[in-house]
Amino acid sequence: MQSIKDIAELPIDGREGLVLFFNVGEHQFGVRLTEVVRIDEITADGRCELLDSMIELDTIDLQKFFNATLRNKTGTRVLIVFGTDEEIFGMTADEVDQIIAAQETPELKWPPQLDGNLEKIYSGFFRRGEKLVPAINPLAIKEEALREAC
Amino acid sequence: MSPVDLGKILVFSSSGILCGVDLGKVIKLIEEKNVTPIPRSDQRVKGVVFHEGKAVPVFRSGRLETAEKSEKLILMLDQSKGPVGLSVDQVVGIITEEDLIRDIEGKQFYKGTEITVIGPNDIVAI
Repeated sequence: MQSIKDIAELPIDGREGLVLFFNVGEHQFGVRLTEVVRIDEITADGRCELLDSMIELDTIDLQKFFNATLRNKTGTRVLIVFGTDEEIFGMTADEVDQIIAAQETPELKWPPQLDGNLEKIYSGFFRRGEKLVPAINPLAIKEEALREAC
Repeated sequence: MSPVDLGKILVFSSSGILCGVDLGKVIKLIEEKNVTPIPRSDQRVKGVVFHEGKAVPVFRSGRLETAEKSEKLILMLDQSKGPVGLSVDQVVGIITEEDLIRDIEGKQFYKGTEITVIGPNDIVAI
């Protein structure tokens, strides 16, 4: 498993062409690393240096948002901070799985037969071997989560 | 659709329910594996599988409360929007429309058991 410190120290231009995979309960999701601003660990007793330094950060609990049932046994979590030109916001997940070059994990389109509303939350799927991993749209999740008051 | 397939129906069962689909719309029958669930999706959506370069949605076909335990196969069907998968327990066989009996209410029966013949375009998520 990739060290969170390694990920956090990658320069912005070093994140091009990379995909971050992370786990939330029994689910795994992927996101392009260029959308990630910072990552930090949240200890079992809830301490996080990054969160302490970004007091006003809107943070979404992905375990709650995706109704995940499995819990991380260690009690630790990760904070993934996403950024656009206009805003930054955070999401908590269980752990980082791996960072993979985008060419090794091609992105597939969202199937037209599926719910159009979900198409906002997911941008498609990343292929990892014979398995598919949902690709998330962080901004859409943030908007939906705040609307549901996660 | 091959002329040989005209009027032929593939019969399958799910959770004890007998169903049929136009054989001409069946692309392939595959073993159910590597289905990725999609959190927050409609409960009839079992997930997606990687099939011939695409993410193909797989729908449950039986009773939702028992489907998870029994569905072992995926019927890949040709739908107007692209291929779609239907998760089923087992394939019973291939019949023709002449093998079906309709009652006065329009219900169809195969060997005394009610059967629902579906069209691939009927398989949609809300």
